[in-house]
Amino acid sequence: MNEQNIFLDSADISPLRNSLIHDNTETLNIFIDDGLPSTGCALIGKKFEWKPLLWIMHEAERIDKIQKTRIVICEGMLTKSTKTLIEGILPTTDLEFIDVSLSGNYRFYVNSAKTAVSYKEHNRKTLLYYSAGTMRLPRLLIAHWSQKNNIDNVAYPVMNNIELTAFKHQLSRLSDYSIEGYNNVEKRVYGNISQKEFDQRQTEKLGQCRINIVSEQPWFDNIEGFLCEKFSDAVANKCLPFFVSNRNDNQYIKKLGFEPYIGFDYSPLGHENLIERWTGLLDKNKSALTDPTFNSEIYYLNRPIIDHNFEVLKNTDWTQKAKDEISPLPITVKTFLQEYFF
Amino acid sequence: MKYGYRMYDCSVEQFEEYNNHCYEFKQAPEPLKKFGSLTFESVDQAVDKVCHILIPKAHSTLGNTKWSLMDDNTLLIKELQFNNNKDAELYQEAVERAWALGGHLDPRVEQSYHE
Repeated sequence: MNEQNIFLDSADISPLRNSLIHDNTETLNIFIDDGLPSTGCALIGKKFEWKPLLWIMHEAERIDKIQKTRIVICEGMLTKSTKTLIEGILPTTDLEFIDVSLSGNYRFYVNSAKTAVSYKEHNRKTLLYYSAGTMRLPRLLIAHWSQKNNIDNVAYPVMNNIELTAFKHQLSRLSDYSIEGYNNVEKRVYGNISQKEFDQRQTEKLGQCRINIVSEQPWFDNIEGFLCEKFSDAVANKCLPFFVSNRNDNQYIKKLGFEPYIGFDYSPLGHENLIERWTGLLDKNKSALTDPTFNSEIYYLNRPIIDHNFEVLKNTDWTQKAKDEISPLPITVKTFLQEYFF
Repeated sequence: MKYGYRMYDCSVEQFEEYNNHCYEFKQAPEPLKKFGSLTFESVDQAVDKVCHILIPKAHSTLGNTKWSLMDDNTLLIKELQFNNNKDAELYQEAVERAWALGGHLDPRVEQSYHE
C-alpha cells in the first residue's frame, strides 16, 4: 500500500505548483497543526475560509481517486460543519478524520505545570488582565472594547498601516461594526523586554489578577479546542479564564481533564456572525469583567473549579498523556506524530 | 466585464531573478520593459499559459466566458457575462480562493481591468 504523508503547515500549496500528491498514492495522510500561511484562514467574499479546505477543493479530483484519505488535526478538532463540507467535496475516497488534542501543544501544559509547582497565593487586586502579543481580529475587538470602556489592564501592540487597513477591510466585509475612533497606539504592560523577562513578569501579573481573557488564534469555525499557553498559564496562576476565542473552548477543556468554568454568559457563542459573537461576549459579560462586586463574586464562585483545574494541570504527566492519546492511531499516523512532535 | 492579460516573455526563474535584483538595488521592477510581452500562438495556448485558476474549477462555468487575442496576439482578453449577481459573486470568490492559496494567475502575468 503506497502511503503518503503531507504536513500542510510546511507545504507549498500554491495552485501554480505541481500537485503535492504522488500519482501512485493509495493512502493519503494530511496533517495540520498551527495557523501558518498554508494552514490559516483567508477572507473570501464575506467570510473567512480555511486554506486546507481550499487546497482540498483544488485537489479534489486527485484526492477523491485515492483509496483512503485521513485528515489529522494535531491540536484541537475539526468542527462538524467543516467535516461535512469536506465529505461533500470528497464523496468517493474512504475519508477518516483524526482529531488529536495534545500532540502540537502538550509542551505548553508541561511548562505551565512547572510554573504551577512554584505558585504562591497573592492578593488579587486586578479585576481583569489581558495582553495581546500579536494583533488578531478578536483581539482588536477586545482592545477596542477596552478603549471604549476605559479599562486599564488590557495591553496590545501598535499596528502598521497595512495591518490596520487589512483589519478594517475584514471588518467591513464581515459586519457593519465600526472601528472608527480606535486609537492605534502601543499599549504594553512592561515596555520592550525580552521574552524570558516577559514570561516572568507575566506570571507575576497573572498571579495578581482575577479574570484573564484567553483569545487564541481564530479559526473561524473550522477548528475548536486549539489551546496553548494562553489558557494553561491562566490555569497555572489560578486566574479565571474568559474565552473570547473559538467556539466552545470552555466546554472543550473537559476533553483534557479540566472542569468548565461557570457563571459567564456564553450565549453570544450562538451568533453565526463572528463579530457579533465576540463583541457580544464582551458586552454581555461587562459587569463580571469590570464591576468589582460582580467580578469578585464570579471569581470566588469559580474558586473550587480554579483549584481543581490547577491540581489537574500540576499533577498530570502531559507528555505521557499526549503519547497515550496517539497510541491507538494507525501506525503511520502515530509514527509521523511521534517523530514530529516528541 | 472585460479583463486583459499580458505575459512577460521570460521564464519564471528569470522573472524571479530580476525581481530579486530590483529589490537588492532598490529599483522599481518594470518587467514589461525588461522582457517585453510574450506573443501567444493561439487563444487556447494563451489561456493555458496564463493559468487562470479558479477554486473550485467548476465555477468557471458560472459565467459565459469569451476569450480572444488583441495587440498582435500579446494581449489576452476575457469577456465575462453573468446571468445574475449570485453567479458573479461565486465566480469572484473562486478567484479569491486561488489568490489565497498562492496564485490565480502565472506570476509573469499582468492583469488589467479593461471595462
